[in-house]
Amino acid sequence: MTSSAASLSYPASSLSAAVPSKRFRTVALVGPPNSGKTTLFNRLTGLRRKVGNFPGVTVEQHLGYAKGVAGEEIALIDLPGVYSLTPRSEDARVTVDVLHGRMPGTPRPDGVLLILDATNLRRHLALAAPVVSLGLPTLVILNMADSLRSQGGHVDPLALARELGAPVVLASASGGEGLTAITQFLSLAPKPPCEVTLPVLQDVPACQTWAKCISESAGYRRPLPAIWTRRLDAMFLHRTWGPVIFLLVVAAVFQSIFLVGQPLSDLLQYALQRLGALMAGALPGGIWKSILIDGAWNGTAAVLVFLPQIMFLFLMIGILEDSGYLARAAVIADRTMAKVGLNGKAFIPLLSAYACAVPAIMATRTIESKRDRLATILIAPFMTCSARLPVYTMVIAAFVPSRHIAGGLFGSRAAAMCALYLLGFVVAVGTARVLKSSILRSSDTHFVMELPPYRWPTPLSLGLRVLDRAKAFVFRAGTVILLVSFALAILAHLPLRHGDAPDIQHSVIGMMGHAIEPAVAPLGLDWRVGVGLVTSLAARETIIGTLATLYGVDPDSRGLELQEALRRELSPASAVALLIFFALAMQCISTIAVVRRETNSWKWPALQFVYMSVVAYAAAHIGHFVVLHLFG
Amino acid sequence: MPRKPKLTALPELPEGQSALIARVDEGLVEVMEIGFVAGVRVTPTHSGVGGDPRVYELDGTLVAVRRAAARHIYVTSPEENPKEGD
Repeated sequence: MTSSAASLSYPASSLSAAVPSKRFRTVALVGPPNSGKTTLFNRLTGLRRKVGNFPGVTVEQHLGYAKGVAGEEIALIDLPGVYSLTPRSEDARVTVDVLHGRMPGTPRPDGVLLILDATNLRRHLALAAPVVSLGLPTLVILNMADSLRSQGGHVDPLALARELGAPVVLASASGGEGLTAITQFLSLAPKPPCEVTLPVLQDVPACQTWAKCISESAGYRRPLPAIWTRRLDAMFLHRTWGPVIFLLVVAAVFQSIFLVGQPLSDLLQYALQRLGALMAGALPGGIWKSILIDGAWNGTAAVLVFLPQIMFLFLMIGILEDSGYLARAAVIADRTMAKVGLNGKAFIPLLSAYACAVPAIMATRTIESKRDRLATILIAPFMTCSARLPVYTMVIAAFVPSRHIAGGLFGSRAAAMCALYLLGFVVAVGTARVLKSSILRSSDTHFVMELPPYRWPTPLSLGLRVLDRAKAFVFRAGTVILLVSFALAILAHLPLRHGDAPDIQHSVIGMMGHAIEPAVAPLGLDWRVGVGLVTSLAARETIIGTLATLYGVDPDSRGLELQEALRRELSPASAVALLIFFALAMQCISTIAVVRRETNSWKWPALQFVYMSVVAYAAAHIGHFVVLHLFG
Repeated sequence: MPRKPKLTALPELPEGQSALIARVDEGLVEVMEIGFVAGVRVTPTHSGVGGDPRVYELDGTLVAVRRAAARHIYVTSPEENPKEGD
């Protein structure tokens, strides 16, 4: 007898059913959070998978293909981690809908892999009751069996199989144990679970008691607590040192994105510029070359250069999450977040929004409460993202004289930069408070979170995670950016006169700039900045290229450095207004697109765009007024 | 006849002292589903800054709970644990 066959424990009555007549097509993976479900999914499917969204909800759909014993393909659906099948949260609703075949576009699963943490069996078994009662052929996988054994725990899988009426296998998704048995199950003929007595599913205490009883019948002995988790938590959750370490970790993540991500970004930018130059060389001159290279390609490349930072950010988040530290960080951040009315889990997305709001908004998926998640999405773009840096740097360098302040500790320019970072943060916090005490008020969310034991992150999981995000970024944000850049470039070349593009003043873009001018004129900004504000909708830093072009073609300012031209055209009060506007406005098509995708409606991005624009415009007016009357 | 045990709200349980859960208020389904049900042993192990949220050891696992939810969980009066002391 092989070891894998021995570890697949069937209840006695179903042993005869081992001759396949029909087979599994779609199997769903169900399990509580931290049960190692996703690790197992990655192990079984590898690269044969795709990440999407279930239609109509913000829950991610992970679909992959496992290979059976004879090489046949079985579709696997990785469902969100749940403690019960009560459709209360969005995650649980998706799980239930998929299991009942009510999710449009997702085939009804004809089998279930129920993944439970063997080191936590007594509590996790409560999920077995509703899953077994579905009547679908089910394999119960007791994951982390290696940890169970090494920490002195025990369970008899055959006895448990008898209690549950379904086969049980001891496995270790990270160590590879039990994978053969799981593959065998997937290749067997589907067989529904045997009749067993189950508790009343709506009665949570009854389910918990039932779980306790059957774990006792299966000879379950809880493992000793992991000694390393104890030691690390004594440090990471320490009343004094915990927050200190937390701040150091946050600073290290933030810093490393610039230290490691930035040089890679610069390298990519160089490569993309060379590629653009190569393509420009291959194209015949004229309008189309200008539209395609100067417009569409440059606009797309300006966004693609953020790819290394985004991959690096998700690698860091992956390491923090898979190691188990993120759960501790959420506990430490929870107090501060609670004051604003947000969940402790909101802090990671908000932190990553300092690099870019797009991955930050994607990272809000870890927040279970829909309202808290929405509030986090709505305030994330206020955090000073890296795209604002070029604009800040340019305007500050033009208008703020370099002086030492606070006894040489700070430069005046660095202080101005810090003030802008602070402005974004303060407005974000204020907005969160307003949202959480009005339209997104929620009292029903309890911050309850299991802290998993510390583990080494596996390269496979980290790699797949980074790859998924990189793909999503390149494909989705890339298509939107490409289209917008292309459209802007065309508008800058229309209407044609005698087959030639008009000068920019008389192009559609120029006319749009003049149409916007009345709105920006009270701030002392001219039509060129107006055009810059329009083009910066694609990506904030686009305004720099736009202004450089517009001042460059103007005979008055031709030959001047951009900083000099800005100093001549704008008053200090107007410069302050411009900076404040950029600090607070939602000048980013990718963010709008990602909010649309994550909330599955145009309502929220529209509301967010209007709100941020109004706040930015009003604050710019206040800044303009204050500088004009107090310092002017 | 045994004396009816005095109930303590979970946030009042001192750190390091274990007690049995006696009762959980209605409506705290998330809290119950994660394992806070009558009869389970619970021990506060860590407190955040300002004492909220707190981390509890529950049947061998660590679970963080905000005070707002924990005050709906009642435990039997803590047993003195000679090893941990005060």
